[in-house]
Amino acid sequence: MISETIVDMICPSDPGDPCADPANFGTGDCEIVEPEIDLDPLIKNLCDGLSEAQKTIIQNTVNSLKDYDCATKYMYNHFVNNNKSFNFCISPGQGSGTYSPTTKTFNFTSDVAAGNMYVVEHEFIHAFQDDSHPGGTGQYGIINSNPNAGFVDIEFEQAVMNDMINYGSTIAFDLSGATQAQRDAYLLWIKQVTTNGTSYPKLNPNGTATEIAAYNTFMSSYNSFLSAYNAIPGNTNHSAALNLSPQALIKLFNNINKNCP
Amino acid sequence: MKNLIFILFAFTLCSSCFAQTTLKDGRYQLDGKFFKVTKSTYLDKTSFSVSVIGRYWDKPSPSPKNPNGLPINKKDIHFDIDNTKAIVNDVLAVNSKKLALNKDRIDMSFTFLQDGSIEHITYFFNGNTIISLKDIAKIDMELKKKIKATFSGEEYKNFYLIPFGMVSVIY
Repeated sequence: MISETIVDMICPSDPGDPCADPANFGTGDCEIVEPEIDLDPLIKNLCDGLSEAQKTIIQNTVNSLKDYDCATKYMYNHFVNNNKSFNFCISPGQGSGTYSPTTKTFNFTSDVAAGNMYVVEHEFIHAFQDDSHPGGTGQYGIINSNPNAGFVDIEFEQAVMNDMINYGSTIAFDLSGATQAQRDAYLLWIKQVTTNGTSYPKLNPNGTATEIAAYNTFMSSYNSFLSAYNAIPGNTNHSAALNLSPQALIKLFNNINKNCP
Repeated sequence: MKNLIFILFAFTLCSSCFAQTTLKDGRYQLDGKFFKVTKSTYLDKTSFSVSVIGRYWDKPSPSPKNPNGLPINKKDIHFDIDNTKAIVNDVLAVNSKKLALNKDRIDMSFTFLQDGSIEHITYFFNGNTIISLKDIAKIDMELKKKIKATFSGEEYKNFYLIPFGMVSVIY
């Protein structure tokens, strides 16, 4: 995933091609000029202080989002088509990565994290949630180490989206306080909702009577698992729950299928 | 007339046998292990999950060494999936035609320990499965005896329990 930085050798004149001799690199005869990187339209800014190698990692990661899976492809196109872009940083901070809805910034805490698509997809979903929930997700964030009401709703929605995209994973109940019984029940539900991982739920709370009934059935299970998730001992995502409608989940899965062109 | 009644009786009997589900909600003891069978219906479709009640069934699973560590990439978990499917097929070989007729399937979610041994397998089945708990107990015993994982990368070292995800055998 990490590629070498591209360095162009540019000579002011070319009599006898001094650049053919490595001894001339960096001398007046043969200047090494690092080209401006053409930033992907998803990248608004790269943080100051990033090395060329780190910039390349981020550029590669953003490129991967275009076709990593149908979900990242949809979200990437959604942002680019709506002229939405983000800041990208690699610097010390919380966990392996964060998304700030206030500054629209992704921060990865190491080069490895910035190139790890599990971490990147997680944070990318948070950006999509920020775009999908009315008023953004900043209102449900952490202030002075205290999670606002609704924080757990956002984290749980992200985990469920991730577990439906990466069928077989149980991110929501892989937390250390969760039990095998909880993981079994949750995975059985994910299996049923996604028809053995072959489809995504299509949810329409304002549709036909059948669609509304299907939505209500989904929400009943979803809220039940949300309560169980919020009650996991030691869950750092615990907060007062608002039982928010999972707007990002509905928007994403109503617009994508398991296979995409 | 007698023949017709006999045919109708035989047909009714046969249909009810075929539609009979072998799994039922509850806790069972088999070969010294306790199994939990859970039935669940979602939008008119019924499914079962079956688990051996292990040490983390209703107890919190252990924490990773570094809670901020990177997640494990599925590509870093290696085990013989073809052999896993072959073991399942061997146990169910006698019923393979019936299983195919019934469009049966087994989905298995694996959790490994750092030494590569299997800590837990959760089994999932269609609501009309004809696979018995006795078959599942045998599959579980065989898989735990014969399947071992290896790991690459560094991330797995952070976790006591290493989940893999699903392996499916479809008839």
